[in-house]
Amino acid sequence: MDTVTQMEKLFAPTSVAIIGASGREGSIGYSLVANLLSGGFKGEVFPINPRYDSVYDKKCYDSIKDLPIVPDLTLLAVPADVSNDTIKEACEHGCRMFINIASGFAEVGRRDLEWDMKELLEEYGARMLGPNVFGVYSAKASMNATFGPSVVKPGNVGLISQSGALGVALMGKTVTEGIGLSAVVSLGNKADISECEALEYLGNDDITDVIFLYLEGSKDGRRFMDIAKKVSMKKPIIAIKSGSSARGALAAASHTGSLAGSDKIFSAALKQAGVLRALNLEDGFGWLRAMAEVPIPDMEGVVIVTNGGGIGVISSDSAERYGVRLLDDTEMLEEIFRPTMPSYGSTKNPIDITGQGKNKEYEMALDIALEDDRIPAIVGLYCQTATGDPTEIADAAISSIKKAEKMKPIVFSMVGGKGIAESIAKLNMAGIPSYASPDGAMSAMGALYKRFRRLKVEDEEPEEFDMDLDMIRGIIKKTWDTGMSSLTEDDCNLILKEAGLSFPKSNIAKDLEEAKKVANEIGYPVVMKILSPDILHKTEFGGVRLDLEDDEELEVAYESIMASVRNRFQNARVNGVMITEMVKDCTEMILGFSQDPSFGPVIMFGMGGIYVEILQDVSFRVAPVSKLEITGMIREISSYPILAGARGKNLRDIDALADAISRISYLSTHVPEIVELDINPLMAMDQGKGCLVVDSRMTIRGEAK
Amino acid sequence: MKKLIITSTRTHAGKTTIGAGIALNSNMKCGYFKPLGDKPVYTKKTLLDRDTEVFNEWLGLDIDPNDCCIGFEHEKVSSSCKLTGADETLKERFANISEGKELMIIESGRNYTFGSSLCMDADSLGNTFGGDIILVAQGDARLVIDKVIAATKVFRSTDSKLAGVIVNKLKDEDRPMLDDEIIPALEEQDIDYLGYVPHAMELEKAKASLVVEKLHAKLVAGAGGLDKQIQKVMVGALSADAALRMPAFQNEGKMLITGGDRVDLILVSLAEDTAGIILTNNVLPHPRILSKADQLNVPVMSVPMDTYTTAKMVEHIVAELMPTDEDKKDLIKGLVKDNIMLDKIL
Repeated sequence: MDTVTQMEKLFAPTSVAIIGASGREGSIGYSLVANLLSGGFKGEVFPINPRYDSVYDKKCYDSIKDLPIVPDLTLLAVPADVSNDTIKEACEHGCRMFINIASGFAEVGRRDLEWDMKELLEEYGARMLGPNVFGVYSAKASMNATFGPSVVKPGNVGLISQSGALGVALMGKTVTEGIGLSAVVSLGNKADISECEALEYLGNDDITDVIFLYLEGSKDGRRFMDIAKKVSMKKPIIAIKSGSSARGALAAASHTGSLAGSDKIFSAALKQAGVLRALNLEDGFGWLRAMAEVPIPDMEGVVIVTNGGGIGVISSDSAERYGVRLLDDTEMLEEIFRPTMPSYGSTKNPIDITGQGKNKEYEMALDIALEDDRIPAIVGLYCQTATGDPTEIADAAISSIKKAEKMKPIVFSMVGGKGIAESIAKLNMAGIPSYASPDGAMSAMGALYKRFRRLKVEDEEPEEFDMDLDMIRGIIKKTWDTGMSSLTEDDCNLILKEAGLSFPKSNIAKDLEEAKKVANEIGYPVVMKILSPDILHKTEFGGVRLDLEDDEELEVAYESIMASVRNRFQNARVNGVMITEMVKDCTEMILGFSQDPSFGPVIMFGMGGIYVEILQDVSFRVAPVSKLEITGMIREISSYPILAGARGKNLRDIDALADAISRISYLSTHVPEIVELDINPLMAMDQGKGCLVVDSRMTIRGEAK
Repeated sequence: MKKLIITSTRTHAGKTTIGAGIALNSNMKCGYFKPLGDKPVYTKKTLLDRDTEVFNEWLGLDIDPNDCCIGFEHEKVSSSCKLTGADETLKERFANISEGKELMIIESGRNYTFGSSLCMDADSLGNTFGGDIILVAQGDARLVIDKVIAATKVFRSTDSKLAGVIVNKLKDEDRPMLDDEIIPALEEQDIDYLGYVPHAMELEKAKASLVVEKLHAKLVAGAGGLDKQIQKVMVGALSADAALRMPAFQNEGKMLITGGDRVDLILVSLAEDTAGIILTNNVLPHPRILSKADQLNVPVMSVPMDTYTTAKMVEHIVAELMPTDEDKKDLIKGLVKDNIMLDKIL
């Protein structure tokens, strides 16, 4: 049975059994039966508990074996200790899809129970959601198989939550906020079914238009990312990923026994997959409302219609923060809006109908904004006045929307006291996403535009390169076989040269006389480095001298290196020195990757040099990265203007940097034996002159996992 | 002109301490010559020997430290002596820097044999300059006696003049060893005993600035405290609570080695009496913590190595006399005056 068919049994079963059903009101076993029956589930419901004849007026069976049919879905509401025996019995009866409500597994340290459970499921080819979940709601099947709220508003939002408590709370919130749900899945400990299957199913689900995801970590980040990438091209995914702070990650790890990967990596992966990451619930719900109710814009340009200059300015600031571009064709705006407002009103965006503007003026302004094709999206603002009635303004906005031939991306914000909350609720119920702050409205508009831009950009395939991968693996194996996990500088350089990266001119010299000869051949200034297999931290032991400009300076540097090294390592093997061209007039960058246990190779690029840890101006992407992603990585760092020639400086060779990133991305995915690579500094030269590897470190492992 | 060739039975026996102590007590116009450098300081593309800087500062000399030292590495020194030969090169340099001096302190390389292949070992220097050799010995009795007798055989075989032996860094508990074993053994061999210098903890302690230099560390805060002496080095692996309960953690002059993410430990160790904090793996704490370190003059330095490697490197740092060590200068002068038979030497 394929995954999609299996998931149909979870989301659209024709029969449901509840093992552990209870006649005691308020218990989980009771709530599951009550919610299923009162929620209008059309299929058959089989409560099972030998202690009851009936539950919620429904016949209760002694055992799964007594059921007249094999149920599509079996809910388990039994204690953790008997959970596996119950699953085994049900599997023997033919059950193949379970929701395990019980807690007391990995989240409290009982991983052994979960491992046994997983083995059992594999043995019978069965699937299970949970344990430690509150259930599943599916609008398609009118099935509320949860012990959460009994009343759920059906709609187009799919909700996936790793946290049970938060999931129940979010379900409740959608009811009060008037947001309709197509499905709710509680992931719990993810012993079997994870966010990947849930996301894939809702991605293909016809009645789900938006997916809202609460995650604490992902055990298979790479698979999640691949699925999210595909789904996000079809429908928006909004995610809240907790554990962004060190303390949050700790709480998340102990909460469900999940792995909370590095937040920077997770954030990069979400971005690459086209998932909109909200940093808090307020933003997340705000975006969700907008995505669920209004269309995605089809071109850039927003008009703000306001009755107050102050909130207009606040919104303009927010627009910049959330990447919302305001329409600025003043002549066009004058032509469109002048007839709708008093002579002293402003037609410069924000369109200010002034404090005198009442419901009539709002309606006129919104009518024309909705009607005119030159206006792609609208943010309506209302600042409560002494004489105005917010309910009337809400009615005016609703009236405008009803009259409009075509719905446009529109969000609203109302600020004030009496009547404001009711008016916001009224607008929301009418399908106009409304917020208590202008910032919330603009944040939602920003999310709509992120989605618009995501859909505009076509995904690209990562570049392929011709590298001698066997030769590279050979170098790694040779080092690993000698018991080392770090490559020597020579071996590291050999691999990077094979990967197609460029280096400054350099050569080896056995003694001082040869060093002078080599330096003169390369041309001063040069860098001198000790060559010794016994000294790893060359700089820290005085084994590197920079910017040597003539024979005399070279002589002094040579002596100082030898003296420093001999003082500290009297028995070190010294094979001579490496003389390298001193690269000047460039920008020091850092490029590297590390193998993340959940996502695999993750590429890092940013400002390099000795202050890399202090500046932390770096961007991350999960490999492999396409040219498009690479451009994003380069532009994302705060120091990008320096590469782009800020303040009259020379433009650096950004194409060469992009090529280097692409090659390193290829290397990282094709040679997983390389655990970590750090190229620092990678010298970005002037445009057309490339980029050069000056120093690098590589950590390896014997066999790729 | 009086010429004293100071050499030793082993590396780090204290040649510079003895040479400087004699010069400071001599009331003579002194000069310093160290043909083979062994404490390289590379700054602004020049290479100097630290000891020449110390003598320059302490004795108010105005000679170029480059003239005091021919080189550090055999390859370089032999190349410098290629034209005129070692003997002539030494004499030429010596003539330049000894002009107008009444006492010249000539310090050998690491020990009395170092530089033999260049004819710059202690015995060769004695022959070249014709001065008195002072042999500085340090270690346990058997080692001192063996090494001194071996060195004396060398000096006597070439008619170099051994003025006598000074035992350095002698701990109080080793006094009986000196009186009962070393001095009688020297007398038996007809070797003059010139006195001893007692062990002084203050001379063994490095300063935070030396750690920055030796580790090639990035100083990220607390530059005002670089002159603090390190009394105790600790690796910060415990929790802050547990560390605070350790008596060693209360020590004045402690230097802590820990990761920059150990904010708890860094915060509790930030006190005026802390000699320094070494942050490993290049992880830096919040800027506010660094500001606090600046306020308290606690040097905070960052290194790329892990804590284990860093601790090993710090362990190998040997305290060196620095030109700015005025307190050590006075201490050395007093110790030499009180314990060495200066009348026999000068």
